Amino acid sequence: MNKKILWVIGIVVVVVIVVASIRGANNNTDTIKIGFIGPLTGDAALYGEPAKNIIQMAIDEINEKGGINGQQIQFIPEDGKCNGKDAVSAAQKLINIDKVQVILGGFCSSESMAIVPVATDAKVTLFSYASSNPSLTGISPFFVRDYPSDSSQGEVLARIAYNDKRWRKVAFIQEQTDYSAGIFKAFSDRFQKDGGVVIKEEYSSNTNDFRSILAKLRDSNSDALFIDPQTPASAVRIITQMSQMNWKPALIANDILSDPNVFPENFSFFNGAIGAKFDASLTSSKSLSFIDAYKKKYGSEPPYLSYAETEYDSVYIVKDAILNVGNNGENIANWLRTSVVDWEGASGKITILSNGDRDGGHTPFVIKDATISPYIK
Amino acid sequence: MEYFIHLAILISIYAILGLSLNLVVGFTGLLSITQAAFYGIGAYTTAILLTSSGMNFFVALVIGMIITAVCSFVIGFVLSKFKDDYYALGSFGFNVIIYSIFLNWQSLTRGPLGIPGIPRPSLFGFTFSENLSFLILSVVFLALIYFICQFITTSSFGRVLKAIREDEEAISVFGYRTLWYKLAIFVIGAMMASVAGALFASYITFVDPSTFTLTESIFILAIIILGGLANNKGAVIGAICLILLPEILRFVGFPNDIAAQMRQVTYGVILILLMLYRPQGLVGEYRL
Repeated sequence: MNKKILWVIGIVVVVVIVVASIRGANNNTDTIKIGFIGPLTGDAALYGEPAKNIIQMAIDEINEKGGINGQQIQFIPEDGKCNGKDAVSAAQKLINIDKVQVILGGFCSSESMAIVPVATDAKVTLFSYASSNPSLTGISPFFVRDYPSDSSQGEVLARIAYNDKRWRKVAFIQEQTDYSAGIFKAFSDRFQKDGGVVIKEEYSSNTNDFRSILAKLRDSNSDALFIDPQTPASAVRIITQMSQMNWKPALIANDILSDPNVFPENFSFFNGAIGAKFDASLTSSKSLSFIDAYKKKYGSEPPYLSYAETEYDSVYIVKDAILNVGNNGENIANWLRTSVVDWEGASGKITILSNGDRDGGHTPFVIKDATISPYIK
Repeated sequence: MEYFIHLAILISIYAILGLSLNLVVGFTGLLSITQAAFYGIGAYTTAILLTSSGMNFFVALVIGMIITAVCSFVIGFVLSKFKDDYYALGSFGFNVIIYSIFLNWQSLTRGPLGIPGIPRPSLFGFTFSENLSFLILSVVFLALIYFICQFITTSSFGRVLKAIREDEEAISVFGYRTLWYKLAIFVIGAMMASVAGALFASYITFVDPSTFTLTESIFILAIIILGGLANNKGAVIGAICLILLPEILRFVGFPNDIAAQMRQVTYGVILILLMLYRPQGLVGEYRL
């Protein structure tokens, strides 16, 4: 029995290697292959699935209009499962079997962090449409992102809180995820350097009852409360429980709350709240046509608009790069770092700096009467 | 080729984890679901020492093993109060605790942000930066640990472990202090898992708490149940199967829309079928 099993395993391994190498050798030069890594299964698939759909939609649009220089784009999505191990497996497969020159991804910073060395070694461009971890800034010449680093958001808000609002003590409620932690770090670094005090409470992503931490934060007699969730769902729970406690502090919120479609029934609670989002106006023509196209294809509003727009833009930026310098990972990475200046996209004007980050970052806004208006000092 | 080297490295790391857990679950019959915690301690120790003090990988690996030994001694001591299902639940709890420590001790672990930029090992001026050289290094570690496991399980010490698994009361009547045997093998298994963690951290170059959750412990348990409990070869075969299976499924040609989900479903179905038709695992000698 043992020998038989070993034989079976041996044969399976050989078959895989043969099939994989045939597929690798069979590289069709008529198409341009673009890889994608994001969480397609597991908890984070909530974001990864729409990301894949939106990128697929953008690629379909380009293909319908004749592709890039007559070449069709072949889209190859792989599941990174929001962790380093699976993301690296996916990246190795895309790079070595499919021989892609560009990978869009990862979504989670844990995916991007782990695949940066792989892409760098293979000289493949890694273009993240959503990773915001500040540690990714300038991490490799082959990494760029059109989603701004968390640090810009945290800093913008800290400056307003300290200088304009003259708050000296801010209570902070943060979800335990890398995105939220990144914003906290940037905010508290800036705010404390200026001389303020931050009192932080954290909650894990499956928390439902926030009353005890909210009560604790209320008793700290802070000047304002910063709500820093990962998803609108936990934000809604926090707001609901705050209103049940009848606690109405001055509010600061991260960009999860910048989408008025997220929870209209609670929006009155946010009157006067300040937040920051990156330069994405809902009125820009590209943004509107993107939303229309998405509605037509999937029959609903695009979920998580702030990610959706950068996902959509990433495809078109890469298209421009390939048009200009051809399908070569090294050239594309160089082009992206030098030539993307005031690029008009659905997420506003995009400029990519030489460290691979998106310039401009976040602009502050105020919520007034359930709409978002620009912040004026 | 790089792709296969990468998979081979993953297989070596998971084979080490499988071997380490097999000592505890397969040979001693203690259903421990906390191996990912020790894997994580090894990975985090290496990550922190290498990035903050630039220490040599091999020194960090040994320090990681020592820290893991201390932690697993304490955990094992508490767990020794439990039996059977309660043991499994207790060990489950420790995994959650260690995970929360990774998540919350932010001054040390950077919490959910993770630790990036972990360098590759180097020895006498040679750096294992190429994946091929790293593969050789991890296979050497795997071989070493395999032989240690083989030695343990065929020694008189190993026979006592099997006796504990079959009938703990009977063996204690013969004057064996089963507590110390159970504790010893638990600590040895944990130290081996910490080696796998060190290799993982330095290979992937990034660690964050999400890698060391309960799911990972269950995955390691699945490796040895599938490969076969109480058989060292089984742990290696299990690791080969469970790492390669999902990769093979990438090439089946599911449509893009549902490829990732179908991969998960097919993977699950294959595991269920295997357990239905070969409940003792591929080369197992013992059933839970």
